[in-house]
Amino acid sequence: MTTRIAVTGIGLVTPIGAGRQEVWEGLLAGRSGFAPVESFDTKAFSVHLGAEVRGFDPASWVRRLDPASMGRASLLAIAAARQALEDAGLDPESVEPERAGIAMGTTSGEPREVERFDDRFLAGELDQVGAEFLSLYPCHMIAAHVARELGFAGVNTMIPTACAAGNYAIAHAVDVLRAGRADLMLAGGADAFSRITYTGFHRLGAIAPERCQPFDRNRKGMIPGEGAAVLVLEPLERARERGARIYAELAGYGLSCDAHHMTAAHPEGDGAARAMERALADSGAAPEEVSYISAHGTGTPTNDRLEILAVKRVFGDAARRTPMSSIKSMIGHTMGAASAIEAAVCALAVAEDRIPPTMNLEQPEEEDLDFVPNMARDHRVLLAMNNAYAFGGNNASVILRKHEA
Amino acid sequence: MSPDVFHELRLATVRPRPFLTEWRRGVNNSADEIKNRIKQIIANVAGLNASRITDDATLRDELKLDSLSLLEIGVDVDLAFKLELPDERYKEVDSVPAMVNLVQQRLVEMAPQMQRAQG
Amino acid sequence: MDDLNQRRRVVITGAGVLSSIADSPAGLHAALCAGKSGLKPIELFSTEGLGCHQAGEIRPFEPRDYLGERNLRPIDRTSRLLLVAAGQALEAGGWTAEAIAEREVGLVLGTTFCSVRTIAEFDRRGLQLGPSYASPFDFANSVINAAAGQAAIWFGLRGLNTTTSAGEASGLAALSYAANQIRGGRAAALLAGGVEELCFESFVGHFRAGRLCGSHEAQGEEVPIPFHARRNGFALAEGAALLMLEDAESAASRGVTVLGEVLGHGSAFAPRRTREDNAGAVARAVRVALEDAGLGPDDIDCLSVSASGSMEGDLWEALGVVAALGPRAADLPVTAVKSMLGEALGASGGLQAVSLLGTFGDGALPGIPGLGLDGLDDEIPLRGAGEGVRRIAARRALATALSADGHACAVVLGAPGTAG
Repeated sequence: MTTRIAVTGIGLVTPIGAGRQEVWEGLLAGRSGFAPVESFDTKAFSVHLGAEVRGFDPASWVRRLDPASMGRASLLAIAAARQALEDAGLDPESVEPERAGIAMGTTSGEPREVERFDDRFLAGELDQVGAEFLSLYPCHMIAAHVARELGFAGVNTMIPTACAAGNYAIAHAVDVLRAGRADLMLAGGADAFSRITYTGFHRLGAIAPERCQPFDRNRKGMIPGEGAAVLVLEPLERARERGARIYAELAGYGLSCDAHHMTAAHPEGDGAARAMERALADSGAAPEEVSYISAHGTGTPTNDRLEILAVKRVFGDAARRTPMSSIKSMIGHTMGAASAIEAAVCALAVAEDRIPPTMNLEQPEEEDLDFVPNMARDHRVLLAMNNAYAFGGNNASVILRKHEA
Repeated sequence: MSPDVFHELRLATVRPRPFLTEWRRGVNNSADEIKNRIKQIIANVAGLNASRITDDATLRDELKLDSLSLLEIGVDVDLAFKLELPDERYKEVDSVPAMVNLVQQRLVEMAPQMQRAQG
Repeated sequence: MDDLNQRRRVVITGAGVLSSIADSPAGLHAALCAGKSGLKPIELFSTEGLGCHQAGEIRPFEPRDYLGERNLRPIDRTSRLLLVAAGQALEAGGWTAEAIAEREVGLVLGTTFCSVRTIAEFDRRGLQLGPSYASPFDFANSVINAAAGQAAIWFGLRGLNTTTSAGEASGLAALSYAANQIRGGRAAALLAGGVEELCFESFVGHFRAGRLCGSHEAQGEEVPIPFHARRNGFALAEGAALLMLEDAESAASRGVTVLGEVLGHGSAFAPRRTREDNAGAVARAVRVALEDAGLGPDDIDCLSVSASGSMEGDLWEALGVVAALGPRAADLPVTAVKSMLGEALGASGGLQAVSLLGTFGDGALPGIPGLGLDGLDDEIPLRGAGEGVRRIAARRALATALSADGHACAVVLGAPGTAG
C-alpha cells in the first residue's frame, strides 16, 4: 500500500513576483517577466532579454544564517523554502529535525562564484580567491544552506539534473516519504541568473531576440530566467491529522534518459514519452484522465515540436482534449527551478480548477491541440501532469492529483 | 598537433587553440591553404585524422557530425579566419567545398577593410 | 519501511574503476592491499604559491587505450574518466548493446562539480574572445549532469539517469538512490557510483578553504593520513568508480556471478558545523542503514570509512560510527582507502564500495599506510585502525561517508549469499 503524499505548502520566487498568491495571480493574468538583462552587460551579445527576479530581496528571508555566506541560488531557495513552510502553517522550530529533509534541484549551482573566480584569475589576482569559493560554489550547498537555515537534519539531497532538476528533486522526495524515511520533505529547485548560462544558450543560438512564444509557428527560442520554488510534501495522513490545507496529492512520477544527444532531444520524442508513460503508471492513471499538462515548452523550435510529438504518442486522440500550456511564455526558462515552479502551478491548478495560459501565442504550431492561448481559464483539473526535459537527455514527468477531502 | 585542451592547462591566460592563432590571414591565401586549414578544424572536431577527410566530404552524411559539432566547427572556422560571420551563414554549409567557398567569399568581402587596417 | 521479505534484493554484478593506483577492480584491490599510494607531485597544473603539492592524479591517462577510436573531442576529462569505468563495469557484467537496451540499463552518478574546469574554461574563453567564440562543446559539458549524459549516449543507457551531489558523500548517496530505485521496480540494472576530476579550480578552492594537507602554512608538512595524530588535511584526487547494481531476479535470469549485495542504506545531515551534529548525523545514517538491512550492530564485520586526513571530519565520522555500533566497534577491522587514493570527492564512495568487493572476494581488508604504532590519534575511538592488511571473514561491511558540509551516508554491503 503506497503512502499517499500531500502538497501542503508552496513557496515561489519568480521573475513575475514572489509568494504563492502573487505569482499564481500573475500567471493567470498573463504577466510578463521579460526585460533587458540588468545583472551584467549584454553589449557583446546579439540578444538582451532575460527573466530576472527583480524588486525582491531574498536576503530578507534569511534569518539564522548570514546572507553573505551563500550564493544567490541559495538565497532564492531559502526564501522559497521559508515561504513554503509559512504557507503550510508549519513552524520550522516545531518540526522534528531528524525527520525533516530537503531535496533540491539545480542546473548550475552558483555560477556567479565561478565567474568571480575567473574574473580574478584573468586579472592575475588569484590570491584573492578565499575560502568562500568552496563554501559558496558547490551545488550541494543550496540544499545544505536551506537545511542549515531551517535546522533540518534528515535526508539532504541535491540533484543537479539541469532543466528537469526540480521534478527529479520532487520525485526523490516522494521516494523518501514513501519509504518512511522522513515525515516532512521540502522539495524544489533553484537557479540564479548568470553570464555563463546566458553565454551558453546564446552560443547555441537558442535565445529569442524579442519574444518567448512556446508552441507558436514563429517561435524563435527560449529566454533564460532565474528563480526558486519549494513544495512542502508530507504523508497524506499526517497532513490530514494536523488539519493542513492540501493543495493536491503527489500521485507519481516517471524518469527516463534519451541517451541521444547532449543538447537536443530524441527526434521521436522517445525519452519524453517514456517518462510520461511511467508517471502515468506510477500514478495508476490513463492518459485520458489527465486534465492539464504543464509543458516544458521552452519556445525553441526543436523542443516544442518534439514535445508535441511525444504528447501525441502517449495521449493519442486524447491529446486534442487535453489543454497544455507553457508558463515559460511568461517567466522564461528558470532552469533548475522551472519544473519545481511548474509543479507548484499544477498543484494550484488542481486545487482551484484554473489553468494558466501560453502567452504570445498567435499561430499555434498545431491547430488541433489546445495550448490555452493567451488567456487563463477555468477548467476542472483532476490530474495535472508536469513535464520537464534537460540537457544530457534527462527527462522527468510528475503527476498531481486532486485531493477529495 | 592535437589541440587537446587538457595538455594546455597551466597558469596562463586562456588562448584559443594554437593552430588557430598560427594562421595569418591574407587576401592572397590560396584555396589549398584555406581548404587544408578547414579540414584540420573539421578533423579536430570530428576526432579524425585530417587526411581522412576528402575534398568533397559532406559534414552530416559522410562525417556524421551532429548539430553541436557543426556549431563548434563554425565557431572554430570563424575564429581561425577572423570572419565575424553570423551563425546563419554556417548553417547553410554542409560540405568541405561549401565551407571553403564561404571562407574565400568572406575574405574577399573583407579585403577592403583589411587593407585599411594594414594601412 | 518496506517488508524485508517482500522487497526486491539489490545485488552487485559488476564493477569498474579508474584511479591513481589502478585501472581495474582487481588491480585496485591488489594495490590497496600492497599499500600502494597514488599521491604524487602534481603535474596536471602548477601549484606554485600554494602550500600543498600532492594529489592522487591519474597519470598517465590515455583514454584511447580504453575507449577505442570513437570521437572523444566533445568529451571532457571528467566524462572520459567516467566512460572508462562505465565501460569496464558493463564489460565485466557481460552486457552487450542488445542486453543494455533490453534491460534499459541506467546510471546514477555522484559528483561534486562534474567539471568545474570546463565551466570555468567556457567562461574564460567567452570573456577573452567574446561570447560568440565560447565553445558549444564546453557549454554542453558545463551542466553538472553532463558526465552522466555523455555516458548514457556513449553506451546507450536509456534507463533512468540521475546525478546526485553531496560533496564527499556523493558516491554513497548515488548507491543509495540506485538501490532504492531497483527495490521500487523502476529499474532492473543501474550503474551507480561517482566521478571527479582533478583540476586547478577545485584544487585552489580546497586549498583556500583550508581543507588540503599543507593548507595551513605554518605547519609545513603535509600529512594526509586518516586518523593520524598529526593529520592536517587531505590530498585531493581524481577517479571514477561504478558498481553495477541489479535486481536479483534479473541477475539470476542473466546467469551472472553475484559479487555482493546492497543490504541497506541510510543518510542524514548535520545542520551545524559541530562535533555533536556531525557525529550524530553519521550515527543516524548508520542506524537507519542497519535497520534497513534488518541487521544489528553486531552483524558488521568490517568498516570502510571516508576518513581522509581531515582534522575534524575523521574524528566526527569515527565518533558517529562507534555511537551507532557500540563499544564493539572500537576493535572492528577498519580501512580508510583515502590513505592511498586521496580524496576523490564524487568518486570516493564508489572507490570504497568497489574496494569492499575485493575484500569479500579474498578476505583481505587493506590497512591504513602511514598509521604506524604511534600514528593513531588517541581521540579516535576506532582502535582497530592500523597499517597492516587484515585477514577477515568478511560477510557484511559498513561503508560510511561524511562530507565537509555535513552530509552523512551509510551503506551496508553483504558478501554474495549473505542476505540479512
